[in-house]
Amino acid sequence: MLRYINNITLRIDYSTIFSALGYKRKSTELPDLFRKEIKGWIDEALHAVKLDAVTARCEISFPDDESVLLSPEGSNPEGSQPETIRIASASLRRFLSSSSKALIMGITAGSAVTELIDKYQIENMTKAVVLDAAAGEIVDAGFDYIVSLLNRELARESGRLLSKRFSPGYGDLTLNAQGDFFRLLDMEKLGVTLTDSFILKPRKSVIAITGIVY
Amino acid sequence: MTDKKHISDMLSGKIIVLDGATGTELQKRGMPAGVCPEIWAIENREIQKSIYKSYADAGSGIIYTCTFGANQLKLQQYGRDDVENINRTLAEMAKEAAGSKALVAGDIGPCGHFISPFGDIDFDDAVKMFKRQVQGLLDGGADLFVIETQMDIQEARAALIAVKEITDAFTIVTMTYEPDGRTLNGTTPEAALVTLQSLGADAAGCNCSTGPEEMLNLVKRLKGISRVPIVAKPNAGMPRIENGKTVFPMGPSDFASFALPFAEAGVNMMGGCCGTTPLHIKLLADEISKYKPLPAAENNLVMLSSPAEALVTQKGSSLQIIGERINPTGKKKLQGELLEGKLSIVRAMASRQQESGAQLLDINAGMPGIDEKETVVKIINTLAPVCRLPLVIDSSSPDVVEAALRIYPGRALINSISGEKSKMEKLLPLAAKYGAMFILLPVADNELPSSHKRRGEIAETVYEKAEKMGFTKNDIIVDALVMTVSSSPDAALETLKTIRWASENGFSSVIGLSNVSFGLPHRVIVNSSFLSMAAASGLTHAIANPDETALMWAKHASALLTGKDKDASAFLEFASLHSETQAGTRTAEMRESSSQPAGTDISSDSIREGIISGIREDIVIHVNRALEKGGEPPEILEKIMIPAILHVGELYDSRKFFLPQLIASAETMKKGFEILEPLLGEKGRKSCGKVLFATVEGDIHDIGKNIVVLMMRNYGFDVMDLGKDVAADKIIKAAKEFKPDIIALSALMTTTMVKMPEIIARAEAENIRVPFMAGGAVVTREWAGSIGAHYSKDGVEAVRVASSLIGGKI
Repeated sequence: MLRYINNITLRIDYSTIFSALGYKRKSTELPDLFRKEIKGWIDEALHAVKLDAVTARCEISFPDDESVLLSPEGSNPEGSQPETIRIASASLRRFLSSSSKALIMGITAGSAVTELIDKYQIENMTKAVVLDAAAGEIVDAGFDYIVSLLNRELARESGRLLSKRFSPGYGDLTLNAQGDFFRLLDMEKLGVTLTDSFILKPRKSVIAITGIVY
Repeated sequence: MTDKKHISDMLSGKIIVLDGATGTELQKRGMPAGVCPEIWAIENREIQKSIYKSYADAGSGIIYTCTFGANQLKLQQYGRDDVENINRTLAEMAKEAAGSKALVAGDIGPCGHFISPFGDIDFDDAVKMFKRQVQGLLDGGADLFVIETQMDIQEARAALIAVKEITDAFTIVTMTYEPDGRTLNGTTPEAALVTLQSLGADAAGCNCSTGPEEMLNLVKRLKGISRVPIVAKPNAGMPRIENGKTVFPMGPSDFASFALPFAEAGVNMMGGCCGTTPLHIKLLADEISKYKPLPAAENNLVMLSSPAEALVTQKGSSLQIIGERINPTGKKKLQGELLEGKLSIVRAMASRQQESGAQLLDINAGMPGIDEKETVVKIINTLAPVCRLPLVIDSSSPDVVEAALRIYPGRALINSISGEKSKMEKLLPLAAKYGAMFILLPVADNELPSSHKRRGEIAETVYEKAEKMGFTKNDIIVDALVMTVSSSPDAALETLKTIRWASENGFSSVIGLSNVSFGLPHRVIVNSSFLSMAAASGLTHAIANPDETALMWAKHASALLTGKDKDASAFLEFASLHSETQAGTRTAEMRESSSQPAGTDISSDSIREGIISGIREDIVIHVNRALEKGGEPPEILEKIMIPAILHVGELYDSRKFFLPQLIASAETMKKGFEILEPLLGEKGRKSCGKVLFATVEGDIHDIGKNIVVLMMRNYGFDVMDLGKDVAADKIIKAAKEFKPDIIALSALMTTTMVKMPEIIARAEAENIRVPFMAGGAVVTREWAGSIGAHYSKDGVEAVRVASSLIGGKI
């Protein structure tokens, strides 16, 4: 069964976003007012982001060395059994080899923030770059949030998530797999669409998979 | 079920010891990983009963049923739907095992989904779902209820309402807080306590997540504002992973050594969570029985909360602004948006008022042509997750008020309940059920009293009724009724007298400020003067527009002058943000720092400084000034601007600048160049070379490419930018027409990166023999080399690579 988490609220450190923009505490010389201005832009990005996520817990099996079968747990709301997907990827197979189950996660920062970034690419590129980095880091922090949420629940079943995540595009897991995950997660419900080249829109949307170990 | 009073009486005499962990004990006794603990506990009845009994024997006055995950949604994961049956069985087992030694609390844990607006489960569906569990537990003989390990305040509310709508049993609610002191969803302990104790939790506190050391501080924070007993159930220390397993490191005697500090902090019920054992509980019980419980402190605190934060103030200690903007009356644009069902203006207004210093936000959606209830619910669901200010539900319809109170994941303020009989009858019970505060409008049936005396009488009448439902004066704010001074000269004085009456009689007070100046010119002056006078009379709340800086100055100055801002810190902080001298941007700082000594060439230094500092706003002035002084455009460009931007590149390379500074400088340079470009004569600027740029087909990410294009143009390259998602055909066609010296390609994804070698092969086949550059997040130096392209990691390097490719010197 799919699980939706809407309006994820995050407390994000300015320093994380500054680092993503190349800020080095020891060497970067940044005037105070510029720092303040950038912080204001980061706040603006935080306001514009609407972070929504969906997760699916899956049974996994390995039919051979180069693929993984993923079957979502539970049934669909209308009672039907969700479809099992087969992902051809030796690297994902290796990544999940010690796991008993898998967790597939999809997350999006929403379209408002990408529209804001596009608007500022024309009006104020500096601001656009800051908003873009902030939105990227927020999405990343969103995954961390989901991982800590799930770990807390899994602790009661003596389980935990792997500390790493795997996304389409890593190793031999092609972006085409993004299509399979996208359908499994029914991400259209989050307002996300998939382009012909398997890219998620709005841009600040990401899919990742990790293992559950007991 | 045990009478609530019996448990309260127990609590007045001693600190009640709760039980320890169930999950980790089940695992020790053989429960395999990944099974449903509740079903396993029923199938292994004797094991579960021995755990129950071991805690009762250890000294737990209350044991929890093993029904943490026995809700409909969790059980469904294991293919079970007999929720009532499972809960009843486990409660019966607990009662049998506990005998007369301990009371049994029916345990309700999180359902594994978040509740709207934080998740996909509708609020009323969640209440319904929890009711099934509550009913089962009640049938099994549970004496009281505990809702525990909650991280979503909305879910805790749904479960609490489920209990309250079925039974009057004593109910404990504990949330779980991360080491940073908030729930994973960002709720502070104070916000949760204010929300839950108002909603009817009989005891509240925290469990799980941390060990006793970290939890002690939370108990101290909660005790200061609690009206109910405080509960703590820490883990046996902070969990850590050892050999892939979660380990709780704290032994029983170390755990029990926290009895004294917790008793001193004011805990009223204490047990253990994950990793604690019957021995932990036995030693804790032995130790904690030596101490007497502390009752809740008497206080005059006015408490409201949003899902994120609590607004707790000593009554009368400050003047709070209730932001009035979210109200469609007289706002055409907002009306239009609400009619269309959109909320972007509402979101912007909320965020703006929050930034301007409002402490509360009034929500009013009363206008013809819309479904008020639906709109208010939608506004609350939109604002609750993003707004840290508590909301004020402003409606004359009890239906709307009820719908709003039911779903608002905080403690709201109702605006308002009057002395009209029908209003009181409908609204007071609603306010009591959902624990809301309310504004008391001293208006009776067919009577709008003009004297403060009569207003006071009506207020007393309403209060008498409210008191019987459990309200105190801390929960009520009396509206001092502002009338228009232009039509009734004594109205303002009478309002001030009403404020004083409220203050002398222990009530907070509020005014709808702007009414006073209706029909007058210079309303802001009248309003802010009246606000100061009202503040001096003891006003605690004003419904006003926090964007009116004059009002906010009056608020802060009044606090200073009435001794409520003793060290002037609030005034000085406000002043530092609003003084003229501080109001500038980086431009002001730049202007100040570039006051040049006489005799230097001010404009050329200013251009250089402007580019290096990235102050776009001033570069036009500086360049124009240099031109006025007779500067030659090519010279300004070659001798001032290019060296300045080269210097910026060096600063970026040595990490003295980071990306935003680099881009701000590049944008400033671009702006300055736009003035010079038409003046550079027929030859224009000497081009360093022609670059054709594109983000490859399928790729919609182009911010990196745009940065490189900006940089290249600044350095004098003639760039044709084809944009993003560009097909190979288009690139080849453009290359034939534009005849570039270099073709530069960008890709951010592994799937689109593979288009690069295809384009290079196409170009070769079409006999386009120019060097290729490649870059973008996934592209590496090695990979670019392997397809025969030149790599650069960022804009600065791209300029250098491009320059070397065409034999330049940059």
